[in-house]
Amino acid sequence: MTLQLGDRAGDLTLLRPDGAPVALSAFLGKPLLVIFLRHLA
Amino acid sequence: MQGQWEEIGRAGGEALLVVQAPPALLAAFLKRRPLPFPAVSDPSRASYQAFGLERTTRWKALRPRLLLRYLRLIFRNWPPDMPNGKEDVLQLGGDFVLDAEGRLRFVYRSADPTDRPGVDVLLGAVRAAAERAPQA
Repeated sequence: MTLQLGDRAGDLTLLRPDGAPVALSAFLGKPLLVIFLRHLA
Repeated sequence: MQGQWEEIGRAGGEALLVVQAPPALLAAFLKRRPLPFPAVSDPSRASYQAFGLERTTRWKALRPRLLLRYLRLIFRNWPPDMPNGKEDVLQLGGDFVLDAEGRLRFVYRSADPTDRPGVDVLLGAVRAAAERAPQA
């Protein structure tokens, strides 16, 4: 289900550059600009 | 560019880059081009889907207007990185602002591969999220 304005988005799991999983919520505490890149190359 | 990221900090926010490349490719990218903020990988693109980011089509990606904008971007960042075969080149990106509690406060889903909001728009969204009082 697509997130909408006002929805909470903290429970997504991502991977750090070393491969370790990390929750999006780990980056919260301040307003967070999340930039989704199309692709690296 | 560095000044713009510092401006996000002064606006009371932080930034996070999400890429669809596997972690090893992201790590190699960060060695070549260190960033002043964290970057994470999502090869499954589950987060792209959760945020409503779609794939474009080859037909849309090859429109002359977009090809011209692509060429400008390529020459601005010369030499360009070559395709790594690990990413979906038709995946579209986007920019979002979450408040301190993780609520989505700003949404910009790219309509085509070169469509991104201006820095001023993003800074304004970060400032607005910083000024918003926490909800009970």
